[in-house]
Amino acid sequence: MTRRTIEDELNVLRAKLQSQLPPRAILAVTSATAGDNVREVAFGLGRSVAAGGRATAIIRLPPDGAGSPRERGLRFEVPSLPLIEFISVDAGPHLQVLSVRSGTALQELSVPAMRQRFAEELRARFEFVVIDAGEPQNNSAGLAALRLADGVLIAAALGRAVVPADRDLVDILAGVKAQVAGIVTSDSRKLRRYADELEALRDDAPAVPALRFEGVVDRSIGERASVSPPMTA
Amino acid sequence: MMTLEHIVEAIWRRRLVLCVALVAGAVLSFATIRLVPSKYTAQSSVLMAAEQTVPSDPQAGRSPIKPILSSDLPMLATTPTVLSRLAKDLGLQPTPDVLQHLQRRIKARLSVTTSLPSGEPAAGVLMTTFAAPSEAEALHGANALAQEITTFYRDNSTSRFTALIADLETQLDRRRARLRTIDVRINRIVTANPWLDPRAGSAALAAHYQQLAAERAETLATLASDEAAARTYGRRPAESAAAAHRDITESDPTFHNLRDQYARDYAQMVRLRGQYSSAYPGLSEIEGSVANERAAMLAQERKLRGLSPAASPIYVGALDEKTKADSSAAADVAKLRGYDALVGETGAGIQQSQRAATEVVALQRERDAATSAFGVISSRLAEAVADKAEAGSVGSVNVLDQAAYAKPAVYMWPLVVTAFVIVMALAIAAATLVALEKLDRRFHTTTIIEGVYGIPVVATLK
Repeated sequence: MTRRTIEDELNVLRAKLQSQLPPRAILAVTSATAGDNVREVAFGLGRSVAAGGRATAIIRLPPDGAGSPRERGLRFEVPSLPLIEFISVDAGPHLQVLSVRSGTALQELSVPAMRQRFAEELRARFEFVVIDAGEPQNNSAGLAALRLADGVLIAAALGRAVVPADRDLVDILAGVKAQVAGIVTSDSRKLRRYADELEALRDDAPAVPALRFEGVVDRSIGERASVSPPMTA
Repeated sequence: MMTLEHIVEAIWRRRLVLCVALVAGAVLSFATIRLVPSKYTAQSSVLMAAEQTVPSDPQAGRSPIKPILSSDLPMLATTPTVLSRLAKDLGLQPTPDVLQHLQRRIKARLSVTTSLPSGEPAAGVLMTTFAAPSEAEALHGANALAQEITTFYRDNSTSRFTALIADLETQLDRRRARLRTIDVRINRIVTANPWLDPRAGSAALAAHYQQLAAERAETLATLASDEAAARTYGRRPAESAAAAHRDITESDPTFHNLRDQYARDYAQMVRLRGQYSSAYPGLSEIEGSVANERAAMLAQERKLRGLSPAASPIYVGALDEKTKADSSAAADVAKLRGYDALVGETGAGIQQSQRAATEVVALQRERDAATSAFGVISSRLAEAVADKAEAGSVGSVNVLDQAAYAKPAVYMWPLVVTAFVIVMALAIAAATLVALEKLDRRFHTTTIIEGVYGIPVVATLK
């Protein structure tokens, strides 16, 4: 019996998700603790979907407190003008890795209208979006991603001990009424290759402005969006 | 429910721990099996030969000569008597604990080969095994056990003869001692009376006495003859003295010369006297010469007569004969005296021997009686021994084959030890694996993860 590779497993997972999720779906990958290979799972899944010829985006959300002046990159801090700005890294055919530019007020995504608009914008541009939601316990953006996603995938690293955060994650998912698609277990050692590729993208690949999304100051009035030039598929 | 894949995955995941558990299990199981006392088993066999059934009692399977049947043999192996003897053979004190311990180490199995018409086994081979911590002890024990079983069987078969034989032997010993006492007394009497024949009594001494008496009478006669001869020869020196003097005179050359001269001159004088007258002038001269010669001859003769007659061989011969006759007579007297002493002693001995002979005869009679009784008892003993041998041989039990080697117990076989160590090591490793898996609350299986989240696992990336 031939043992299936990680790529095979990802393809199977992709097929399962595509059968469960609507077209142009937004999928959030989350976990209870750090080290559950959320980024690796998201990257692998996105690459698998992109390999199928679908325009795919992988969105990396920074945890709370990030975007401080110590972070590298430009900082546009305009408190009066909520702004979500992404930079894009070309990670391969049909695959874009979007990173939130420092200073972006992701807290605005907690507003349902903003979140809906943001989702529509993503669906307009990509056929499949995978959001690295991280650990939602200390990540408000991740929590918002769980709310806007069509499905949530829980990443769990094999071999780690059961912690209270697992129960907390269950409660959080129930609280946000997330549509949990399932759990993906993984071996961090086997996924090291994906982590290395991600690190290479962050450190070496040229990042270009990809998406600029501006929200409204007065949430009751509405929002406006500024869209960057169309992405090349 | 763990699948084979999960098990393989768990084994691979905990391979280091399992290796340690395997090694520890192997060491532990090996140490454990080494702590188990060594056990060797040796086997010997005892054969009970078939016996003829007793025609007069066909209903009874048991023979009066064969009190124990083959089917009873296995029970003999663990009887207290056999166990006690076996303990002594092994240098152990036959205490109850030791006997029970020995009983547990003995196994006896009967292999019946033939059956009596009554259906009971008549012959069979008893396979006995003896277990011991060492090979030598197992061998010694197995052989001693077989030997003790046969001894016990024979003791039982011949026990009724044993007492009889012992009693007969005791009687024989007493008789033998009595005979020895009688012999000592007879020897003491015979030693004190050399002429006493234990069988003929003093008859020999009487015959000797008669012989001595006859010899004495003969010696007495010889003495009379020799005394008569001595008296005769005693007169011979006196009678031969004149002849001895004459012989001395005749044998003296001076006298012969004087006598010859005198005779010639006397013959000359006689011739002259015949031829001439007295006036012949030379006649007187010759007569004077003859007278002188005659005087000289007589003087010589007188001189010779004055000599001892012993100078004459005649006289010496007479004296010699007299001496011989006297010696013979004296010898006869001495011999007669010796005979007188011997006859006296023999006579006294005869008187003394008559009492000893009486005692010897009585003792001899008693000895004959004791010898006869000894023979009777000895004959009965021989019969009893023969009966005992017959009883022991009919349906006899013999050691068929002695143990030549001892087999180690199964758990001491290298292959078994190896298998045991391997199995135990694997079992310990498996138990360790199961315990670790049960106690481990980490995400090793999808079951645990699904249990925590209540959500199915849709993919496993590994």
